[in-house]
Amino acid sequence: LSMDPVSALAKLRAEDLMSFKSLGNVTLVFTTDMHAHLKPLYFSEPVNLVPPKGLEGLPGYVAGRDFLRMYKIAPNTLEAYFDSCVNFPELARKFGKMGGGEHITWIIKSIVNERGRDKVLVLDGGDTWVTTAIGLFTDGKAVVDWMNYTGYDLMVGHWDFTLGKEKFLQRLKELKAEFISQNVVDADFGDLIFKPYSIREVGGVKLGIIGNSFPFTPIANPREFVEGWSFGVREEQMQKFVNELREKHKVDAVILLSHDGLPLDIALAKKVRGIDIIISGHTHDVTPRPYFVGNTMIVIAGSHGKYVGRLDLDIRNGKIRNYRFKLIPVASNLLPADKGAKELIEKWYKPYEKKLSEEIGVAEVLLYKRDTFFSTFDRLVGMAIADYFHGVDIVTSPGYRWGTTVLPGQKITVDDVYDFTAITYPNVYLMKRTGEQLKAVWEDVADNVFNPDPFYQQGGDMSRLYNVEYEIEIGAKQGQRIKRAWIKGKELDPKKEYTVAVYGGPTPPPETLLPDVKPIPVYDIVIDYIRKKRHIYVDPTPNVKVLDAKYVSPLEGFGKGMIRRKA
Amino acid sequence: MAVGAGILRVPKEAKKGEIVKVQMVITHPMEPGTRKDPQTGQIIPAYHLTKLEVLFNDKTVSVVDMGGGVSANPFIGLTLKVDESGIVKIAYEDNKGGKWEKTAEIRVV
Amino acid sequence: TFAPGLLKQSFGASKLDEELQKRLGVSLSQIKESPEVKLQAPTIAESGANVPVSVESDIPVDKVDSVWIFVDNNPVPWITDIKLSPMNGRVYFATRIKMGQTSNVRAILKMKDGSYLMATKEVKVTVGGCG
Ligand SMILES: [Mn+2]
Ligand SMILES: [Mn+2]
Repeated sequence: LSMDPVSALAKLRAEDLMSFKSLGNVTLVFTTDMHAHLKPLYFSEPVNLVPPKGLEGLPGYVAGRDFLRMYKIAPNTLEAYFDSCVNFPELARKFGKMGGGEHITWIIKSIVNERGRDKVLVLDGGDTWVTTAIGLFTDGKAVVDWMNYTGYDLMVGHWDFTLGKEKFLQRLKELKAEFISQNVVDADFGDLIFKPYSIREVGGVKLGIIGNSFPFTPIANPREFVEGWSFGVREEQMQKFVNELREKHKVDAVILLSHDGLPLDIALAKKVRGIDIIISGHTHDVTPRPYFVGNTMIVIAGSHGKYVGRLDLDIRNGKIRNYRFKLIPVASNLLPADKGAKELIEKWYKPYEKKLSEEIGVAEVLLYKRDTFFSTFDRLVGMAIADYFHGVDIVTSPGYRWGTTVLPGQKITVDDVYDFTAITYPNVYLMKRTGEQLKAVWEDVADNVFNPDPFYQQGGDMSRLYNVEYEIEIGAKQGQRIKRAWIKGKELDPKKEYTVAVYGGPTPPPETLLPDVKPIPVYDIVIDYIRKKRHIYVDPTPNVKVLDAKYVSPLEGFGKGMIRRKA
Repeated sequence: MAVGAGILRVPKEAKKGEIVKVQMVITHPMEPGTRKDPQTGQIIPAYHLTKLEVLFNDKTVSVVDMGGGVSANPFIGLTLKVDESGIVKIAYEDNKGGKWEKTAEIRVV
Repeated sequence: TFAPGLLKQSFGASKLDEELQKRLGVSLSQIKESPEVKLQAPTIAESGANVPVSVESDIPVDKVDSVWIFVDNNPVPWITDIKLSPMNGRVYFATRIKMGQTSNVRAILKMKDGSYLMATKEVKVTVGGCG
């Protein structure tokens, strides 16, 4: 793999990335959705973020070239590389990997040094502890250790809960940061499980920070993990806490640390009065500039450790008088590493290093995960599962927004496969489903993605359907979006029973499963398949036709460079 | 827990005239009588609470009517204006003749 | 072909009307939507078997006879009702209900003067999406 970080280095230095004219008396520093990526990685922003009807052009629904245009970002710059899919394969070779705990720590400590600890609050938006090998194998402990070392103050969560209640609460005990959530309550009596908010003296003023964890955790992930707890947005209760902070505690500013997702937070800002700043998470969006709803400022710092958000505020007598904002790109080749963080991460990796660094194949095409409907990695999973269970008709893969990106020509490691699949409920199940039942489920998921009201969405992408082709009308009514579907080339038959392989969703009820099939973890299936095939090529043509919206093909989005040229 | 067992939750103390929450969870399957057993395909017979009365010092505060549309192990929450110290009592029954009672005390301070 | 969702809608509405006639002696068109009735329910149910709903209002409790909860698309739309008294101090009722499918949930206040006030919220019942 040709790597030329030097030419890039010659043009950009750490100071350029960090440059920031400090302002006022308060600095908020924040990360979100790191998904336990303690080591640098490639991660491309999506080719498509197909909007529900009526939400076109809003942050969270603009991607690729449109994104660069909207924020006036010059193509082929470091910023373009971080913020879009455009020419990603070439730019990756130029600028190198992104993120990495030791660089994030270095950035955060530099800012703290510059400003003074009493002026800085360090926040994390959740989806932090799990979904990589290191996160999974250490039950999130490696990441908690790193957060403690780095000096985080506050946190909310989502995938973190999939450790299961007991381990999750154990991690909270070890975590030095305070976990806040106003929207997690006892399912019987509605008592709060966590502190709803935290009041902090920063830079001589009083800040009230309210937490919202992912409102749909028990629906998007297996309920068993949070049995007895109820989530939801709970906007009425949030309004009560905003008022309490203002009237009773006389705070100078109210901040919402949220894992609601950007579209939902934009909608929420119209309902709940009196929030000054929302620091959003979950949908992995990037806001180079803040988005305003009235006087409420909304920002979100991407995902996978690609960015550290810095927001300087001039707050006096209960008023935010001025602000300055920047998403600092964590370009790991251009930034120093914090020595202590580097050692800590190496220590955690050591027992697994050999297993994880094993090269099992080579990518002949860009492997990526994120898109509204389709990805090369999901098609690869489909191929692997269909190969393992001979004769399955359909494979469905969840529309998570996390994973990694493997460049064409890059060796695929065991670690890479875990980056895409490291969940605490990895089993693949086989079930029988009629065409009618399948369509009902797909319509259901489509509504969770395309409902025009963000309060009825779940902030994920559409399930990936392997061996299925379909046509979809985004703007159609609930239950009527999927116009036609074909299974292995034949029109979907409502009455016919199909064999379907599924993973990564709510645990299927036992009576729906095929008997005598041993469940097997998805990562094992994919690792074995890649080992067997060595050269991994996946046709990058999507299996979905969108009838009423623009849908850019991967080849158009990433450019021709997404396919490895034959030597 | 046995069918009919209940948890009744009220604040131990209240100021005179304060409006407090009275909350309860009752152990009951709340079978509507329309569900089929997934294993046998047989209809599961109706078995649910029908009525719940809330009293304070033996005076009726509220009466709740319900059917199989209320979730298993029903939760009910309502408010009570506390003008004196006394006993909150809930009395409830199901469609098969089960009858239960539960009490809790509130002191005016 | 697949049954269009529209059928369900109208089926739900007529079913509800029957039920309202039976329980309250009025039809839906005779009931006023009112911002004074505050209905809290999740936009997306965590489980159709267990949907928390609560109803409150600042209308003085001595003007209100009872609070009723209906779900349009349930086989039996009537769920529960509670008779209030001045001893309640205010209008408040909370419970957990079953929902077979996505539907409107309705909270209806039966007033002592014989009128009705209502709040409606759509609750989505879903098999789940993706994280
Ligand atoms: Mn995430
Ligand atoms: Mn999330």
